[in-house]
Amino acid sequence: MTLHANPYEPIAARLAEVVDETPTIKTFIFTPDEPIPFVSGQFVQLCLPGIGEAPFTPSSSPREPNRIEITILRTGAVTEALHRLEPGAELGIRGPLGKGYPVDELEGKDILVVGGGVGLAPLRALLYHLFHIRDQVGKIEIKYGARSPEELLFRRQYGQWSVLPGVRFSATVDVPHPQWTGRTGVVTVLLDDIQLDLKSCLVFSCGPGVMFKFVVQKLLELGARPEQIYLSMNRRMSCGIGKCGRCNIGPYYLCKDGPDMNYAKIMGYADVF
Amino acid sequence: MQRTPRLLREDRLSDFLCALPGDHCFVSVETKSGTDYAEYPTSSTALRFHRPTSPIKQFFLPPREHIAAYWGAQGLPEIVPFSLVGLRNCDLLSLRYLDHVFLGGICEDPFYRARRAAAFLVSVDCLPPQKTCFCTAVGGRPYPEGGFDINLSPVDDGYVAVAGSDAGESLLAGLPFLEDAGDHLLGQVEAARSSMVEALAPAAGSVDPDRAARTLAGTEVNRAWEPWAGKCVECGACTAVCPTCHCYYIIDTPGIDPEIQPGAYAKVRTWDSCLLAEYARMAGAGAKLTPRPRLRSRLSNRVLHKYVYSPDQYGMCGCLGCGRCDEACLGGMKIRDMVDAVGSQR
Repeated sequence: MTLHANPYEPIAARLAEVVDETPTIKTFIFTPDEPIPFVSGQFVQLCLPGIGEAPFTPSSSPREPNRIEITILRTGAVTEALHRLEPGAELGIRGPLGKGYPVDELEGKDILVVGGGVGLAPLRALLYHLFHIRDQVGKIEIKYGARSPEELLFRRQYGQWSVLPGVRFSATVDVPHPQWTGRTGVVTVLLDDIQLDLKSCLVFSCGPGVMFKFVVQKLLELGARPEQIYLSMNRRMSCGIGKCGRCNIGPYYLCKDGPDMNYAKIMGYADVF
Repeated sequence: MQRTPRLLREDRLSDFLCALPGDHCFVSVETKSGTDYAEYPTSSTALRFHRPTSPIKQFFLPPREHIAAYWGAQGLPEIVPFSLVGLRNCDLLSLRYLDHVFLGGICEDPFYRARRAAAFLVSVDCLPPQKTCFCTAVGGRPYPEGGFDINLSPVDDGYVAVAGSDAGESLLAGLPFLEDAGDHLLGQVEAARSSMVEALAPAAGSVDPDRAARTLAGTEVNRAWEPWAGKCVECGACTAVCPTCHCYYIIDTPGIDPEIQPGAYAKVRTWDSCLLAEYARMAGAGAKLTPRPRLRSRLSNRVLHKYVYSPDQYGMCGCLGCGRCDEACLGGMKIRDMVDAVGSQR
């Protein structure tokens, strides 16, 4: 059995840099021993020797397979350990895994991006791709919600995004502080102000499950069809290659068929949200 | 290669078993609690008994095995050739199912592939059925129709041996103690097979997989599962004995061999069960950390995977009618009763 035939064998990677994003979220910049060419939306398993592995979608541009950024919320055993790592640490990467976003279907379409919390991280990889092919797509609107102003992710970039032609960005927070002058409320409040064609656009959303429920409900009310909506679904994963059985929605395994699932495919399964 | 039926006399069975390829030979044996597998030589070889209680997935997907090491594959266990004797048709069909999972899809599982290539499979016709057997209800037969290297059909004087692969035919052709199997022996085989199908007749209509695929679809969170969840003690025995259940989890452990790689870590996979509450639990402190917080949803997910999702995923029903889960259930549940009750309540 050769090493490369073993999908469970991680590629060694070094942690080059850590960026503090919010009180609970950091971006980790890895340099893998071999390039990991990924499509935006594809994910990797980060393997911490002796601790375990967990799935994360890169937040960096797919055009940089030698320098991968992954933006991670501190929330469990693996992410706690990750947040304690210093630059120079060695760890493993398995991937890329999953299908990623349907990048072949973007041409000529208006794109609506709806993120919640750390869910903006995988969407940023898509945004980098969209900005790269900006002349091939229509309008791009980004709607983002976070718990509080200090939890707003990548906030230094909002200005750069907003000035790109055809790009609109807006954010809202659940719990504002006195200096907050922006919108307040969950991300669906931003969906009343959409300036693109909801009947033909594609929607990409990533965030907590409860957010999906309300985002989908709102979009359908506004006239979008399930086929237009892609959700980056959350399920526990292990193998990453569609065999261990863990991450199913009906007959689909998110690791193999997703994690970004067309809503029309999964809406019939009663335990989706 | 032409496949000639041959007579293996009972008193030559041990010679036959000794001639099988591989470093190990596991045969089905009679034990105090039923039938199981043991390494040959053993005095309790049981080829004319009930199908073994344990599934054969253990030989292809061990309950616990090392699958990777940081960094490099040093010390991963060697997979050696072996023979497996006494497989029933449901066992062979379970391999067909597991082949879809582990050899199909986006990539192969190298460990399953290596074990599959290392295995020489000797099956037998079923004689007699277990009380819980219902293979004919889900489209199976109580005798193998393919997927074996050699099949043995019990007759009065021994077994009619037929090869199902070139490797099997070569082996049979080289055994001087085998005799031509005349038509009367082939007639005996046919008669025994018919009587087995007849013995299973009471179970034959007990579940209809096509109907189940329709009636169970969409019942993921249906309350009709509630009474069954009330009987389930969440032990995971059904998933352990099911020949098609294959869920596993990958964990990090200290290195495979500390002498080879001191201070190193490795990855181990262990069997898991979708019925357990922690199975799909994600990290965090949010409102819904598992998609199936209720036992009734986990139970429905298991049964729907067999009858509704598997036909979509692999083109075959995930339930082979072996009845092992019925045998193992501490709550006394029978999968056919669940399918029937939930399907008819919609």
